Amino acid sequence: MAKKYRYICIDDMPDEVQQANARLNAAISNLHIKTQAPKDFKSQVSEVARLRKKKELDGLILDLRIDQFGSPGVPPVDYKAQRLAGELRSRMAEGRLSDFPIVLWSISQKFARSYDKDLTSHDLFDLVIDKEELHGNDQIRLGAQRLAALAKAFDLIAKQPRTMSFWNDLLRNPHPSVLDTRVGQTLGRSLKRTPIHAIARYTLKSIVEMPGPLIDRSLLCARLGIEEASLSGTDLAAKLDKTAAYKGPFSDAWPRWWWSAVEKWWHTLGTNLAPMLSLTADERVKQLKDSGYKQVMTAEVIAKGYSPRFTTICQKLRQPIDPIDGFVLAAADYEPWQDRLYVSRKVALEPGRYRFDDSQLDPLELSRVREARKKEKRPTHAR
Amino acid sequence: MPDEGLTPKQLRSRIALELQEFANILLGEGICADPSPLSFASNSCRGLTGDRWGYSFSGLTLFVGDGVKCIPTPISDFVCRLDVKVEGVCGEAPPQSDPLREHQVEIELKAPNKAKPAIPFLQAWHFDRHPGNCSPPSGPKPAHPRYHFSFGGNRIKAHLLAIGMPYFEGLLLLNSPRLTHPPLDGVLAVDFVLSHFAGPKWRILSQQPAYRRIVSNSQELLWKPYALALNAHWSTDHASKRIWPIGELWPQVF
Repeated sequence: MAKKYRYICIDDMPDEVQQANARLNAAISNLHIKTQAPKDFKSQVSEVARLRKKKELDGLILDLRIDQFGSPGVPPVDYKAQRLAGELRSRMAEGRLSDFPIVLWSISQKFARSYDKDLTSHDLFDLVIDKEELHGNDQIRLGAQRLAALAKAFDLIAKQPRTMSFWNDLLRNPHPSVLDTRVGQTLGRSLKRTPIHAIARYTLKSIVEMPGPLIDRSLLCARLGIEEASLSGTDLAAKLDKTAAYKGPFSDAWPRWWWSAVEKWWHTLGTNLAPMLSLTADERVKQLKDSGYKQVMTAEVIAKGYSPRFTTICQKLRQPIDPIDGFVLAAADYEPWQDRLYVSRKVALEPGRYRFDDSQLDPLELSRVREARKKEKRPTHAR
Repeated sequence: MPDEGLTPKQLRSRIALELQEFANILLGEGICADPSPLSFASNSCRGLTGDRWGYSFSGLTLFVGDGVKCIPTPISDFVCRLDVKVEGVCGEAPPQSDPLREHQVEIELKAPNKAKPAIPFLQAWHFDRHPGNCSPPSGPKPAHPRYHFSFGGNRIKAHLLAIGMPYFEGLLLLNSPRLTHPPLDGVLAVDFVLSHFAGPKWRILSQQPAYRRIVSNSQELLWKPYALALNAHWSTDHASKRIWPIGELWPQVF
């Protein structure tokens, strides 16, 4: 039987969030969230530490502002989520408390006013769940799955011996020889001394959420040259799940595939096949159909004139593109083994229409985009 | 072999390191904004086993066009997409042996067409290693060097299909000539593109010791055997002539 992950949700309006937490609890079988009002700082820290020691707590969910409302007859507490998280993280770093995930539970407006957008840089919270986005069964289920997957990831990381093959073992890499040896290097300290929460965050932010060795479903479909909707329930989907699905931490809620395994599988479809990404989407789909995967449909280009040799997607339109038709987006610190993120020419040339801000571009691309915009305004070429 | 003394693993490791270094140089000079295809190739080369070295990458984009005269004239810069697949052997072969087993390079140059966005401007070059016999009776009758460039290729056919045209008005496309040229790995393919389509940037890069060293190492790995085989043809060493016959390298030479 799957382990049930137990969270405590501390919110200064427990009655209001109780209903949302009940829906999260009901969405999947292996999650239980207990909602409670915050206690005074010392008691709260002691309670969390005690429950963790008794193995009755797998994670904590904190409302951003827990200091606004008190229970009837009790004044509000005098601390915010950051202080409590900070104290718990310090105890974890000192080894006085075993690592567990701390999740920030907030609403976007409050979040924007009160906190830096890049929460993970604060080294306190492992995940942010926006209460306002928790509507609809799919969103509730996804939120629940993410909470359970996060707690499970902490367990997996804690159990994984810190050996030379740590990353390959942790990620359950089916082809260990192809994982870039620089994965994990930027954690910046010896692996044995790296706390579990730092490894968990790195795994989620740098390996699972960024394309590189692992790719998400949209990118998988773009590279196969197929319409995303045409993959569900097909033999191809089953085959890819069997041969290339990622099974490491977070995989229960962040479905990913090993790109190297997809490529290896592609080359089993025929002899002397060209690399998948060098072909047009039509050519890729023809090969898939010739190999018996007949239900899939070719993905369309964003607009006529765009290249169908897709290797990536436009992050704004979520449609496949060839990088020749796109511009590279900035990322805080791209690792050499990560794929770059792109935005299509269409979005870059009409920033207002697509609410695209130039600050999102890689600095190297800014002058190219500006030049392209200038050219759009000039008289047309005679043909 | 130019890398005598290197084990296959050491050679793969050197190539992998150079690809990564090369990626950093291109990024540093603003020639590309996404060096990840080269990083990926570097890692896949390092991960090979046995006596092989090699890698493939698709979709490396380079910013070129500076200093190139072009029709239509208003186009002054375009993007090059480069796809490379290369695989060689590290065994104990004579120095004038064919260094590769598999090889393909696709060069695509693209510029947007403001007047007709659905019909962008495209030029393409196909470079490959002919896998079979290079001459009759079992090989093709037109000159078909082992390593050759041809204009257009499948990329142009795919372009015609995409823009819904059966042919280019007023332009004749032929599958010949196949121009003999020494083989290109990823580094040499980039150098080829820059040298022809980004002259000013290439001149600057050519002054950089690291760039020169990496290109020179690739030339030694791939061009030296080619040059030695050509040289053997005009030598009096009859055994050497037979190792890589001139009819394969350069069919027009008698």
